[in-house]
Amino acid sequence: MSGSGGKRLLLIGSPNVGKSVIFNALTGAYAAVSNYPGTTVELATGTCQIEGQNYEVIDTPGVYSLLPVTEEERVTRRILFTRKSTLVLHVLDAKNIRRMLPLSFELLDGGFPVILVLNMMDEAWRQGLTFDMKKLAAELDVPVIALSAIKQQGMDQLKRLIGSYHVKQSKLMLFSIEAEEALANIARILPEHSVLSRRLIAYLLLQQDKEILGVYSFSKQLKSVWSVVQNQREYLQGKMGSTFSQQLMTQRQQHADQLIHKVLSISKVRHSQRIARGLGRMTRQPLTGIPILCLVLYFGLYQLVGHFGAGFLVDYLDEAVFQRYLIPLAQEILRIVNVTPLIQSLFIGEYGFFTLGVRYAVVIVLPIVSSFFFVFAILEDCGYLPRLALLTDGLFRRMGLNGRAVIPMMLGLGCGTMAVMATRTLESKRERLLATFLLALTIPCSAQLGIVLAVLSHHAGFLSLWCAYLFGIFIVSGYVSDKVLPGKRRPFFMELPPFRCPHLSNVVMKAYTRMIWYFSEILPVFLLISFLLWLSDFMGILPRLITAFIPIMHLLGLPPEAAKAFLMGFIRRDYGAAGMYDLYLNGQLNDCELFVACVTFTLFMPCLAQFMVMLKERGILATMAIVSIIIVISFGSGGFIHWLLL
Amino acid sequence: MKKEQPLTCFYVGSHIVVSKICTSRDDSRKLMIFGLIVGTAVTLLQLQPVVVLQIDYTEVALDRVLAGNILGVAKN
Repeated sequence: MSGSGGKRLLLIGSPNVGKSVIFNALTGAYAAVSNYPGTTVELATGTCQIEGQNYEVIDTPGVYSLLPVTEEERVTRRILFTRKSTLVLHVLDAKNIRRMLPLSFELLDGGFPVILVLNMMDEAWRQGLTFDMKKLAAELDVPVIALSAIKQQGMDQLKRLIGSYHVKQSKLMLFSIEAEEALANIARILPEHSVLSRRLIAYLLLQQDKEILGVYSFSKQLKSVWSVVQNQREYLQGKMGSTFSQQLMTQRQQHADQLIHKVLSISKVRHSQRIARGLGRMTRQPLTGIPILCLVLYFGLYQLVGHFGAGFLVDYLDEAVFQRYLIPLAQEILRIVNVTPLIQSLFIGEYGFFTLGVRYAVVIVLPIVSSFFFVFAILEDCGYLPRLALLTDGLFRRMGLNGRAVIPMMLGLGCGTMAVMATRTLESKRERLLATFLLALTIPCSAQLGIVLAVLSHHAGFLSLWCAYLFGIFIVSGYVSDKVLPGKRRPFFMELPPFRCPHLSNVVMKAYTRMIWYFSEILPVFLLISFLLWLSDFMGILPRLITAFIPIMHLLGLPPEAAKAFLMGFIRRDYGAAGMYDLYLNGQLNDCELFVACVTFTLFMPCLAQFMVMLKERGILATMAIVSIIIVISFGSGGFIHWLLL
Repeated sequence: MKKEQPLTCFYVGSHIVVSKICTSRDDSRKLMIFGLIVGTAVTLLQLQPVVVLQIDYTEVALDRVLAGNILGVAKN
């Protein structure tokens, strides 16, 4: 079972049904929880002890069916099909049980040891739904439990049920006679599999899912399988017509409908939640949704991230805390320890660990990024993002994407590295590539965004021009990439979760978790860069590197001092942005130069972390092509604007 | 007999029963995961910029082209 010899619990279910909430409640760990589909794009693993038995608990990205559409669904299917689990907890949204039961049938077909978890029972109750749980369990012959995980109701019963679970054969949902015949004919020639039933493999093969043969580690016996599958498909086409594969899925849905008819009674709505529904409606309709979007951008990004985060918080931490107390304290400590001037410069010199690495990470970047994560967590938790996806579908359509792409783009305004990972929620490779390119080129991370908003805020004209230029590049590069890349855009479809009042604890926890992740990522890199800069300065390399960069700065009309910020930006964009902020504070850039620097820097290369994730997700060829295009566009834009402003 | 027409041709607020789905196999599969099959009753909530349907207790947003390939008849 699990690596430690204990038992393995797998949480499976459609997106946005509360799997991560159950995972957190079981393990005491924290997996991000949101009110939109696709929050979990990677597996989260934790452990728990139930009735003296150790369990490894795995939270998986949401799946609608075992025939995957998106990359994240493939991740879940891979783990379900390749690692044997002691128990599979199929989590369903109780009020939407009708459309989620077909996945339960697939899991039972696969021979998995399933417990059915009907979550969000409080919402179902408010809608007037009452379930006959005993009857449902008897009809399916699996344990069933009602839960309201977010309110921690039913968790103890769930643990007891897990502790007392015994594997037994469940009832199967049977297809029509001819389909059952075809399934049996395929299953007969398939080798035994350690995790999956041959019946499910046969069903997936009938649905032309060739990937499924990959679950077998040997290929000799499988050569003949595909011809049998084709024969059986032809047989079913003859019996049921060319749409037989849709008909099979329809049969599952009809079976679910019959079952629900037996176990569900519907009374009057008990609590209508009129305000939340009204807000949900207003945010999705263009007439009210676009002004609301403008308000969100103005208050969320401009005021909270730009003014409060990059303005007030940064200034306060820098002047009132860092310069006044911490720097003198560090100087005093080093004086008491009596170190040599060289060591002293390593800590508090121009490129010192403390004066540069820690200051950039803690004083400049972290407050901005934290304010962004806080805003983003509120938007996630209330269910605003899917409505934003709907509103922006028309825009993304012109770039070969669909509205779904807005979620990684918004996340990219926080951290590009996270955003590239979130492109997994997009359906096709083409869409993922397009979104990765646009993220790397045009979407500034929150550190950059905050600093740009802070340094340009005193000049409304340049700030508007910066927005317009970036938006223009976003549209044009997206449009051209769509024309150049082969393939077609996939149609937009998305579930809109109910609009909810954000839970403060959830918002704080989510922002805090992301902040910690981000900080642990940047601090070592910032310290390393400081050390490298200090070392190269000490060895006389840095001045030469800066000198080599000066012609480029000259091309952009920037002072030679800006070369240092660009050099830093190669390693981390946010570090470079912090360097640019210093140039601004020291008055080394005039307004025009500041504008050119902001545009060039925003379009500049992704940071090292984002670059590494791009390599992992998109491969070396695509990444190198993206980086080359970015360098040309960013410096080209800088040069062009400088020429215009001359 | 009631007129069968694409979902995009109904008025907002219409109660519709899906009568035919003329999409590719992949798209049908996507619709199926939202419980959208022939015979499903839906309410049309919005037509622009994309179509929004209420299916049971879920709101689903669909591309207009995709919704245009779903035919339905007005429910009594």
